[in-house]
Amino acid sequence: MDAMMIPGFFYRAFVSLTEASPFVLAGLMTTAVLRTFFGIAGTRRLFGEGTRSALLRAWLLGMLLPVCSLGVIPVVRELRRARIRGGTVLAFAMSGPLFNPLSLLYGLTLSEPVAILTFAFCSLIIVTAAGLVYDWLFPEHCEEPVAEPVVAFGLQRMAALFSVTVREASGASGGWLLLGLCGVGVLGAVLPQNSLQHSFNADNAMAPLLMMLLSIPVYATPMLAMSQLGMMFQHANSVGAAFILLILGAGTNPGLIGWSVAEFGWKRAAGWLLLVLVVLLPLAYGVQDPLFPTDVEPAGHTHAFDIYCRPFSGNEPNPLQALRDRLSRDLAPWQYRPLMLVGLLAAAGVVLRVADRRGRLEAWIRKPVPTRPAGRFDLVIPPSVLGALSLSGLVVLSVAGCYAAYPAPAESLDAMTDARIGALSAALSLDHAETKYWAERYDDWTRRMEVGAWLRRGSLSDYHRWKTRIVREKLELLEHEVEEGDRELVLKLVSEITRAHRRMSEAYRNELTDAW
Amino acid sequence: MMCDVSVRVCPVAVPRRQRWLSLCCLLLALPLLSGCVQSSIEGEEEAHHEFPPHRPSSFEELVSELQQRVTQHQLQGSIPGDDSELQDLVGWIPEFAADSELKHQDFDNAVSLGRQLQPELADGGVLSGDRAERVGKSLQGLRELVLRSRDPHGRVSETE
Repeated sequence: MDAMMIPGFFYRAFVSLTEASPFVLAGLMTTAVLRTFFGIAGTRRLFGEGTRSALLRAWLLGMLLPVCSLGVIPVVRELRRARIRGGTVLAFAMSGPLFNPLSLLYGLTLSEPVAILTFAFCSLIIVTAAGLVYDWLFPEHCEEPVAEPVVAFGLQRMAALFSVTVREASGASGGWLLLGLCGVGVLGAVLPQNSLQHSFNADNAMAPLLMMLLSIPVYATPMLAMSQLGMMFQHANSVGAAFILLILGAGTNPGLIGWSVAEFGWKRAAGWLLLVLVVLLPLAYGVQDPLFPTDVEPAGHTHAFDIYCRPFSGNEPNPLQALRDRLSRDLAPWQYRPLMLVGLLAAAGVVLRVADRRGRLEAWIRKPVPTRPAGRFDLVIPPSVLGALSLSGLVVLSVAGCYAAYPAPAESLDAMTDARIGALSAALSLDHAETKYWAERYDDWTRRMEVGAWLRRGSLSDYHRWKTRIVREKLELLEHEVEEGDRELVLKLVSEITRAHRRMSEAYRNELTDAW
Repeated sequence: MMCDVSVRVCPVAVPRRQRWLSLCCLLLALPLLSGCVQSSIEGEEEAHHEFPPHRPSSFEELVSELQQRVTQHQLQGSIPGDDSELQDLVGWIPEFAADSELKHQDFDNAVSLGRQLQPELADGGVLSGDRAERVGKSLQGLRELVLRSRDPHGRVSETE
């Protein structure tokens, strides 16, 4: 066994956990809101249980809520608690992580917009077709459970929200979440570095099938899946494989699969997965040619999946130190904040479970509702209104978050300075690892600048798209030449990138800085 | 109400659930074990972009190459539609226009001229009559843009 396998496992799993934490927080909040404000009856009504629109609602709610395939686990557990039919729950579990406002915007501007809209429509076909057949094959008689008492307003309601959140974080949801991270960790331990670069070329008829095998254990946040899609389109890789990556890579993970096996039994869980694959594969092969980008020279490789392979190139003398160095280099300090919050919630849950074994907090929460508020001018807002406001707030927050994640062009240009200088100076010293690291950040900022400009103006000209694309293409060439160690070509490319950056900067600053 | 235990629709005995959890863990551990066998496999070399030899190095060179090939087809009476390299050159116009000093409006003009050229040069038959005139006009338009595509500091080509 290679000494770097275990650090590889932990590196990939930890990075994924850090990236997942904001979405996990959103999932925990959604669960608490559903249980406290909507209750069983309200949740069933929201998801249209027993109506024809149930699957469509599951898809739509999934599209709007900012959750990933790990963050969706507490939510689907709550849906089952409300005795919502298996087909609807599984449809929500799969569609929830695929898109959210943030990732849809990223996808619409960076990949082929038609392709992303087609992918969104195809995801609707997949979840509704698989959901309908699933409910027909495995019918369930889901009677509404006995109505729960409404939680009293004020402190009791707040305590109820807290209790659900921390208990979910420290309970079974937390366990399934950790299992979900194992898939990407195992891939990071066993797949040789760069081994997936040629597997998904457009001329490889097996690419969608291979992607199917890879993306089931993979965990990807909606944003990551969308940026990988962008890279696949940039390299003119297999469109079918890109589609499968989005549906299975972002939509499933071992934790979610494990939960569905435990919840529905292996026959039903396997039946669902099989149904999804039966609808997914023909669609993937069907979109392959019509959505293939015509203005891109097929690169014959992709870097989109390097992040699923081993992160360390060789045996390090001190594996633990190498892991620590790599994590401190790759994760920004702000990325730890949501992770720390998830950790605090889980720790609070453990403390609550230990300290309150008799369920005194729950008993207090369940105390009857007072007939009137304490203060003369206090207003009691019905829980359903608060619930609807909270869920809408989550959606609004994720839309507003787009403006923070994708700043105005001038800010993006300022922010990419460090990455640009880092990439070019590392290239001049022929340091491949550093060049790759900074080039990825530089590349990401150019993409975010595009989205930021598009968000604020509602459109983006071909001229501006090309300006950023030229910088990205040259950056990739630079990375390759640095690896080759060709100093002459590196010097030439550094000079070209400097000029391409100046032109890009002028194009965005001069024409697009008036936008808010 | 706030109890953490979920209400189950399809009851499955708890030990069975644990069995499945163990099976999931085992399935995930299998590739890890297989990795022991693979540990000797070295990481692949990074992939590389390969450009075709007829790819020019600048917008100026692209326009010059286009002009030469069109003239050649006219002189030889050959069919430009059969020249796949010529089609590639026309397809590269937006990319090379963007990778030059052309400003927004000039870039749009270059793209538009490229779009006009594309069907004319892809059609079957030799270049003659009105078609040759239209191609000539588009090429003239592209040639007029060459001056503005140059580096203001005197570098003729971006990559030279």
